[in-house]
Parts: sequence; structure tokens; C-alpha cells
Amino acid sequence: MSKQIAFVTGAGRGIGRQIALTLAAKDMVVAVSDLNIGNAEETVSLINESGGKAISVYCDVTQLASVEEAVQAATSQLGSIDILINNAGWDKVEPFLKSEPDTWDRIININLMGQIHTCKAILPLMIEQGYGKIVNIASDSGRVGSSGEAVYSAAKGGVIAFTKTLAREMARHKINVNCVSPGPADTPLFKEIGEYNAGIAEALIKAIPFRRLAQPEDIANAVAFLASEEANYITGQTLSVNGGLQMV
Amino acid sequence: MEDSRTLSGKTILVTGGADRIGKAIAISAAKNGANIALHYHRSKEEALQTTQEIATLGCRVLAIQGDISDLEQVERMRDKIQTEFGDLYGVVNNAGYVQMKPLFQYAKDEWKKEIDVCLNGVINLAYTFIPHMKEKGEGKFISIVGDSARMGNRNLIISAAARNGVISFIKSLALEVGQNQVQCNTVSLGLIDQGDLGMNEERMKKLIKNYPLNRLGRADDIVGIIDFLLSGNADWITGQVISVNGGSGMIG
Repeated sequence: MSKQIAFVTGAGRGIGRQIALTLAAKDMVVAVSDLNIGNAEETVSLINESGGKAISVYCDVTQLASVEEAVQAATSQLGSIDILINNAGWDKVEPFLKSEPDTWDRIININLMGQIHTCKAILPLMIEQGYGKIVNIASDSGRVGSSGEAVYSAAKGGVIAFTKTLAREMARHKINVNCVSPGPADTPLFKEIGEYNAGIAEALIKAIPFRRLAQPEDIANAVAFLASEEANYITGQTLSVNGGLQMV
Repeated sequence: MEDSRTLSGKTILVTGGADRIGKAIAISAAKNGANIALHYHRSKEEALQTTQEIATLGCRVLAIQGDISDLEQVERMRDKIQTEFGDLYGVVNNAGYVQMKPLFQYAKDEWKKEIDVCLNGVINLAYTFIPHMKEKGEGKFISIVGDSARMGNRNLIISAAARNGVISFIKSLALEVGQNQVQCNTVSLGLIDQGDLGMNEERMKKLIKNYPLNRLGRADDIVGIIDFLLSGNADWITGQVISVNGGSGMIG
């Protein structure tokens, strides 16, 4: 069998970068997409250094046209896309009543519309080949809520529901669609949030039964499992990877 | 050369391991390098056959008889495993006792045995095996339930109730032993066709309509998630319930 090709969004840093590294280590070819092409190229170098194969692709997930161009760029170099990992995400943590419409738009466009755009662009390729796996990165905030993340949790709750409906519609094409739902993770985004929310990391660590934040590897391993043949009978499900912080 | 298989040298107890799903799980864990404690209750012949099959994979295997609803028998199982293999790394509880019928077809108290095996069995296993895992600061405790436990089913009313209890028990347990790096999770199954459903074609077709992936499950569909949850790759996953059901239910 020829190598599988994975398209990972937001793969320039944090969890997305680790997902790209983990999939590459499992012998997949990775299209590393990001808004920040410099970061994407760094991820590609890391993959190349460890003997894997990857390309970088500029992609603004909030714009369908940009996503279509990115998919075109990836497929013209790699042939097709077997696996889509919707990882790109962003949040600004603040009380809902202090948040502004511009922030809401940005959060919904990146976290929810972004996944809708990539699915619109990539599913036809998967349908044509009669095979595909999509893993959408949700968030435990979308399952149980999270103070300071009202609109983000709404977008991520939307991701979970979107995943379930796509799983139903795509099952007949042998395409599996699932969510991995991270709890708090040790990522650049979380560090940014910590800069304007003193003490948030310490408070969360205390509440997590395993007493630590997620490392990107923890999330990437679950993504790799759901993207594998081992998970062929799993679809429409949400798997939380959170050290026991929430149990839904 | 160092053995890099995920469960190399680790001991896994699979309950109800004589045949069907339990057998598939035991064989897969054995292929990943584990020593297998293969529990059975009544299916001695099948258990011995499975044991021989596993032994050919070049790993150590021990068949252990017992009724998991009886704490003393579970303790005897622990002693035998300890003597044969030393400390246990993981438990996969696949054993169950299920009567398929609506509540009002049960005779008085006929449900007790079902609850005893499906719920008290899990409590007995945790009570017996987890203290060692806590001491070692590592371990995996996985129980298998049916999606009926998450969604209800009029013909599985008792086992579904008992196993919903299992889900809750495992969440509380995960909270209790998280600080000891012991992971506790539940795998919830859709209907698995093991060749003995005894349904006519028409009924089967109707049933499959509820499965977006357009087929019932097979024992092989289950081993992937169990292998994953037993592996170090799932060390940050605890207290969760994951359904393997061909899309027949999408909860949470």
C-alpha cells in the first residue's frame, strides 16, 4: 500500500505540530498547513530531519477560497488526501459580557467555520476514493462548558455536533469522522492565555487527577489512533484526552 | 535485541477470555508481548484451546477459572496470577452475564445474578487488583459495556442498568487513583455479530439500518481501542467512555 497522506491544519506549532510529527513517524506523508508559513516550514524541517516526508502549505482556514487553494497545492504535490486533521484553533479567555463581537467572529471563524471549510474542500476527494478519516479537534469546553470561554465553547460544541452529522452522512463512503477533545494542554496558546490570567495553570493542575497539563504528544497519540485502521468501526464519537479533568 | 512491543513483559488479565471478544482481546495483547491471565467461568474447553493458541505466540499464558461475582474467588485468581507472573499491569473486564428480555418477564429476583456479575464483578476486580497498581504507580483498568448502558434498551434493562453503574464506578475510581497514574476507562460496544444472533435476514437488515457504517461489529473491531487504551499512548486518558459501534449511537 502506498503511504497515506494527511492534511493537518494549524500544524505550525503546539498540538498541530506534534500531530504532524506523530503521523509522519507512523509513515504518513503530511501536508503541514498553517496561517504562519514560517512555522509550517519549521514543522516540515523537523519531520524531514527525522526521516519523514512533509510539505508546507499556507492556509487561512477562515477563508474557503484559501482552503481550496491549500488543498489544491497539497494534492498537486502529493496526489490525494486520505486523512484530515482539523486542529487549527484559537481563543481569547475573558468573561462573556466583557467580550466583543469582533472577538466572537474571530473565534467562530477559526474554530468552527475553519473545520467546515476544510471538510467542504476535502470530503469530495475522500468520497471519490471511497476512503477517508477525519479527526476534528474539539475541546472539553464544548462538552461541559468553561468559564471565560463562552463563544469558544459554543464553537467547539458546534464542532462536536458537526462531526456527528458528517459521520452519519459520510459512513456510506467509508469515511470515519470523530473528535478528540483535549483538556488544558501545555501549548503556546495556553501560555498566551496564562499571560493575562495569572494562576490559571496552577489552579487547573490541582483539579486534574493526573496532576499535570496535557503534553501535545498525549493529544497526538489519540488523534493517530482515530486516524488508523484500528479505529475503522469508530465513527461519530468524541474522545476526551484530559487527565481525568472531565468525565462525560 | 530489546523487545519494543507495547506490552512486553507486562501481565494482563482478560476476563471472559475463553472465546469471542475476550479471546480476540487476549490474542491481541499477547501479540503485543503481554503475559496473559485468561479468565473463564464455565467455558473450560474453549479456555484451554485459547490458551494453547496463545502459547504458540511465544508468550506466557495461564487459564484461570473463577466467578467474578464472588470476591473470594477473585482473590484466589489474584494469588494465582501473582505466583505465576508477579504484579498485574492491566485488567480488561469483558465478562458478563446478560439475560435478554423485558423486565416483566423476569421471575422474582432473577435479575440479581446479572447485577452481581455485571456490576459487583467489576467492583470485585477493582477492589482486588487496583491496590497493587496504586503501589506500583502504574496500571490500566478497562471494562467493556454495551451501548445499552448509555442509551437504554428494553430487552437489556437489567444488564444496561448494571453497566451504567459500571460507567459511573469507573469514573469515580479514575478520580480516586489518578494520583497513582492508574488509568480507568470504559469501552462501550454496539451489537457485535459473533455468529450466534439467530436472527432472520429481514430482522438483521432492519437492525443494520441503525448502523451508519452499514454492518454489525466484529470481535476484531474491538481490539484496536483496547490495544490503544492498554498502551502508553493513552496514558493521559482516564475516566472516559468510548463507543465502538459503527456510528449507531453518538453521545456526548
